[in-house]
Amino acid sequence: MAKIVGIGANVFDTLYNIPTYPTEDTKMRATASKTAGGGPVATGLVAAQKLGEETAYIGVLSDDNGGKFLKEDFIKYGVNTDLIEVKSGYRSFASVLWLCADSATRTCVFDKGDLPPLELNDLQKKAIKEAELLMVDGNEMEAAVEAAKIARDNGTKVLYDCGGLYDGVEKLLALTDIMIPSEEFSLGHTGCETAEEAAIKLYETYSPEVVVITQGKKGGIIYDGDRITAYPIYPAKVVDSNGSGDVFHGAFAAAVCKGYDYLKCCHFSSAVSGLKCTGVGARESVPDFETTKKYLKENGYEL
Amino acid sequence: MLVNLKTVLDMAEKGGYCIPAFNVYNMESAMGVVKAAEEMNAPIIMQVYPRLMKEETGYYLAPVILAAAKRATVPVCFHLDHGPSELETTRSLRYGATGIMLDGSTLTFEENIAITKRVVDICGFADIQVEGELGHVGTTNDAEVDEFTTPEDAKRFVEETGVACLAVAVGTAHGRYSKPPKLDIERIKAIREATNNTALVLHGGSGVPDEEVKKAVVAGIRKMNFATDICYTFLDTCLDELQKPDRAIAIDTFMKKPIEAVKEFCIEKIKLVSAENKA
Repeated sequence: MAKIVGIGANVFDTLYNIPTYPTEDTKMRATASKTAGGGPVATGLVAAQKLGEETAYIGVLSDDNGGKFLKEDFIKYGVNTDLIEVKSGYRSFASVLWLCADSATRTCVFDKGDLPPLELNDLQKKAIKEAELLMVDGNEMEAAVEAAKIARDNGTKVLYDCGGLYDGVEKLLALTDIMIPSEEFSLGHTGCETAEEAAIKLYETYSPEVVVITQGKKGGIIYDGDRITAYPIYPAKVVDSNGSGDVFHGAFAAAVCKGYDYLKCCHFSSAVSGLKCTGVGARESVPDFETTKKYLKENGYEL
Repeated sequence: MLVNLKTVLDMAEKGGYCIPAFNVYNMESAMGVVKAAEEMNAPIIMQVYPRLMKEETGYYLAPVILAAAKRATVPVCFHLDHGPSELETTRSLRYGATGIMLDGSTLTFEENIAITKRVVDICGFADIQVEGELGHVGTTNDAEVDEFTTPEDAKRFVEETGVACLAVAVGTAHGRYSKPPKLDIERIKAIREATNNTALVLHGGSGVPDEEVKKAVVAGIRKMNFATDICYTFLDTCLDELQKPDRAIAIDTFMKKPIEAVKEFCIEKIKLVSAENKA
């Protein structure tokens, strides 16, 4: 069975590269377009799989074009799809992104679709019990909370990619072992003024094993109840940063399964995320383990 | 089997008896407690002090308690005793505790309600219930007797926090008594009535005369804590054994007597609160 299982958004993205932001009520020809899978946990699972860990996605997909694409995309990268329930006649969670060249902006319109919420079946529950790590991102909240309780009772660690300040996030936070919020989430949820204060507040409120706050181009900080330590970003020529946060979380999950301490997990994930940004696409440019190890060594860090 | 706090409290309420809550400190005390519960076919609570959860000890002790509870043939709740803040309570959840006590009794009434409510909410997400404390149960060394819990405060506290059970100050103290305490049984009855029969908890159960304990159970005490006397029982037995010239040197062999002594102590208390054959 999979070492890492994940529950979260799985989005059918269509990306258009456009030269300038279009004027309303006009037509514009895109310079390029592509379809891709997105969503924090879904992309994180792909990253963990590419880094050598066995992964499986737990969720509901439609049998429309978007749903078919998302399932095929998982298969392409080796993510196990046996725990996906396919439902006919529903609209997939989909988004359209305009990547504007002259302003370097990213404009997104999304449709959450109308798929029914995930209800965990026996096979999915068994997979959670047997996994080493459960990834959640706050989507499919009710199922995620149930899954986190199962994880808690069976020694499966829960890694929460805290991005959106959704209703009920505190339910998941209370069941989280590895808490990795964005700086925006940590400040928004705690009301603190700095990431350092927020890390301590989150730790003292929810007692995870560790709090890691990601701070984009600044790198991030890690707090284990003892001390706050900063971790860096690793220099890379950025071509496409889309999905770099999702990849960081997936790499972190993989690093935990490899037995690294949490600070080492931060360095490893930061390097994976940095390398991902050197290529186009959130998923296809995720490096493998050996490439990451070599890259870290070149930058003065031995795994 | 491992069960949550509500399960054992409901059993006690339905049967009109009391769940003994034994503090454990190491594997041997946990073994003695579980052996007693199984022999008496009694539902019990195994609880730990928050320092054990906050320090490194919890990392080692919690898996022992969980393993013992899961293997037990009787219902066993793994409970945090006297959690002082959210940190210890959520950490105990992480360690697998199935019951949590938040002790805000040294805070102001309003502060106590606020922190207890927050912990009830957080624990509720994991389907874990909370014990609160109102009216400080001090130690036997305290110079003055603390104020007893009033039915009016208890009513408001229970309604506003949603606790599953409430530790009340009705005449006991933590530690060893210099003279036997007298419990305010009428107060226990009044608090029960005011709180719509909320399960009440008696701390400082070690050394309370048996007749007083029995009256308290009839009046509505549904959980009673035994900590100090477990320590004395365990350590006194160790000291006795150490004096013997033919004492065992292998620690596991040496520990058989202290484990047995803890078991016998717990059997007495299980009988005292009428929990035998209730599993």
